[in-house]
Amino acid sequence: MSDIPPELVEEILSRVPTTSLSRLQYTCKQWNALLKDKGFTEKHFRKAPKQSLVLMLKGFRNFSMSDSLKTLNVADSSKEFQVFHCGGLLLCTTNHHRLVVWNPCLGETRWIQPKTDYKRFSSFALGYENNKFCHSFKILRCYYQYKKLVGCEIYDFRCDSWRGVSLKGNAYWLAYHKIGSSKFLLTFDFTRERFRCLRLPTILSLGWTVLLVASEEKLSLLHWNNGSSKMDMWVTNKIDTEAPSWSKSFTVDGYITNHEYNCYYHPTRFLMDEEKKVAKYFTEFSSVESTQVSRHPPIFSYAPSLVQIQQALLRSANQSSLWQTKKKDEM
Amino acid sequence: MSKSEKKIVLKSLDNEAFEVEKAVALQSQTIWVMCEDKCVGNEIPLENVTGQILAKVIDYCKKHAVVDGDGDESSEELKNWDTEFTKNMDQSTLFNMILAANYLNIKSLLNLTCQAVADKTKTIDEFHTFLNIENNFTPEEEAQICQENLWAFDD
Repeated sequence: MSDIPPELVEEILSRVPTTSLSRLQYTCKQWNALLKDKGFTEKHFRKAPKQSLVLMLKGFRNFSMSDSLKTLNVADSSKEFQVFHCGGLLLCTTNHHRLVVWNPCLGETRWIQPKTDYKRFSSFALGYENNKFCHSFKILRCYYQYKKLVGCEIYDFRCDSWRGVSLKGNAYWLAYHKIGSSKFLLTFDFTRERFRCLRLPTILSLGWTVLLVASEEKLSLLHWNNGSSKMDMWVTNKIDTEAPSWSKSFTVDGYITNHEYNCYYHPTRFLMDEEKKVAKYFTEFSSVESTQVSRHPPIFSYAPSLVQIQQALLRSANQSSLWQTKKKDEM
Repeated sequence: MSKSEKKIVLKSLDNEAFEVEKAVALQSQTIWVMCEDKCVGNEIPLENVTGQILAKVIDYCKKHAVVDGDGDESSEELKNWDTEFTKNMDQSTLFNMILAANYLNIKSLLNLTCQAVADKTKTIDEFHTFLNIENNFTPEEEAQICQENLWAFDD
């Protein structure tokens, strides 16, 4: 076929799913350059259909069930780690209190220097400012003492620093009222850097509930009433509003045993496919392939993207060389 | 406005003439500008589009003009119509539709056809053929880039 203007090539490529595009990257110089262009990656993030891959992480090795992604080998003997993902980036935290942000599709990583020692129990979330033109990623750290939240801080990728203080870049958790233990959704807005409470329909605020998907577009909940032999999948599409509207998507046969009721309501143990109307539940299992096995490898549905990890704008030459050395050692 | 003023004639590269409602044709920003300039009469020559492609573009514009006008059809139905519209187009037709949508400046048609190509094209070879591009890495450069991204290709 005859030549097509470069702007039309960009229009077409910005609609190609991430994993196909990352394969094309190494077949042509112009495309290789295009995929490194921030303007293009942002456009791609807005226009390309969101893919859904199943990822399972074990000792920082990543196994994708639907496509081949990349593996990250880290010299960290940590066996337990947590993962949080947003906008195609994964935030992995080890129990050795180290933080790494990773785009498995581009193979980019960035280690984040903790501000203080993380001896206190901390939980982390990754999100971005809801800005039309670029993704400004931030990390939220909440720390606890005697199971009580005592403080939060924000890490900003642009200035490589921590300071005090995921749907459309926001993070969501299920939370409980202290009195009466009814449930609500707690969300952190990474643009305004504020927590907000979202109400759940009364029917969902009782019984057993697990928040499954916090993707860019919607939230889903698996809900089970004590004594029932069926579980309901609930979804919401509008997530920007104060009171998102929930609707029942489908019902599956199954129930939660007493043992599971207490132990297994972690979201990284469930997968759900709304189209096929299937919910999968993973009980404890381990792998024979690796000696570094986590007893509960996180498994989750992940949407890859070409979003580049922001490098700090302000960084002294000294810090930069330190960073390089560190990176080499860790790879 | 008399009846003739509401109609406009579009003439393709191969001299095929299409009489259409003005409201249909004005979805093209290019035609809209031409009409505003009043530098053309009732007949607009479109030198970059063949009759075969122009007929399809007009089909698209007719469908979308009707919906915008009376709002009878839901956006869901329109979406289905769009899917059917591009479903059986071969790569060469889609290629020419993209060029036509770009030249005529019809944004929604450009979006639709670009997405259709992105959906239909699967292999690396198909992308190279469609976008008329060759692997321009030398074997040495390819080896180097593979080395740099060695772990990135690791399954």
